[in-house]
Amino acid sequence: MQGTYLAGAPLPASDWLSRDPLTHWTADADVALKKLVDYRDHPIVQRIYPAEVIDTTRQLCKERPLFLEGRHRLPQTLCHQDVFRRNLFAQDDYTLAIDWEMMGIGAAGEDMAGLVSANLALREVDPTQGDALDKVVFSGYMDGLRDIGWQGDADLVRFGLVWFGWVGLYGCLRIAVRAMSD
Amino acid sequence: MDELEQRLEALMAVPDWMAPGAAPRYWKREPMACGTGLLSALPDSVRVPRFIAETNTSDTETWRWINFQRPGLWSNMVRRRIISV
Repeated sequence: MQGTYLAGAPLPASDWLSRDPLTHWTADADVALKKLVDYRDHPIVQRIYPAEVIDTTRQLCKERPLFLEGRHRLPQTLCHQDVFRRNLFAQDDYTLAIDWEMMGIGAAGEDMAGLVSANLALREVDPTQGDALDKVVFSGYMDGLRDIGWQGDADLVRFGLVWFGWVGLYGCLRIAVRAMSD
Repeated sequence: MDELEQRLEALMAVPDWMAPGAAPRYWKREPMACGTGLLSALPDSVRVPRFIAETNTSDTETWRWINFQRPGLWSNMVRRRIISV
């Protein structure tokens, strides 16, 4: 489906489609990051979020506006926006996809970023398998786009996947901090 | 032929989910997505729930019948409550 739009089909213009949901998630995560910084000396925080991870995250946050602006320059398509294991059910010859309430216009690679980051963040896939998951997802996605006939730049898709993967993981920070607070 | 499971969902809207467009989640977006043909471009290897009927019981509540082509499937989204199976 995404390849069809990337290959030139006009994007749907329905006003009920979501726009830029990640901006909302990251705004929530900003609050969580501030809390994390405040409690960075706590033993539990140090164990889960070592100082270098917190510092790198803060640096990426500073650069975020630049990347968020850049996302609109990536090839746009129709996205599910919540693709991960709990919303996908593999059957013998098809996959059932549910929970389409976030569906909207997004960038090439954005859904695949969620498929990697959300599955890792929510422990649907063993974190030690992260690299393998990333490779399988990216190559499968590119194969699908090529099958449809999209001949665009794979590096742009890769950029979308990596960038939105980080944003997705960052967005999950609010869940982690809430859990630690509890 | 796939076995079908039919469920009745009652959706209660929460304030953050009531506006279309800008909101990340919009409580009526899913039936719109599945019912308007927008997903007809999906390949045969991907299927979506089939929405049978919907009844608005108030401005913030709607009931809808859905067919899943997989028995035993359910999402754990907290906004949903199964009234009847």
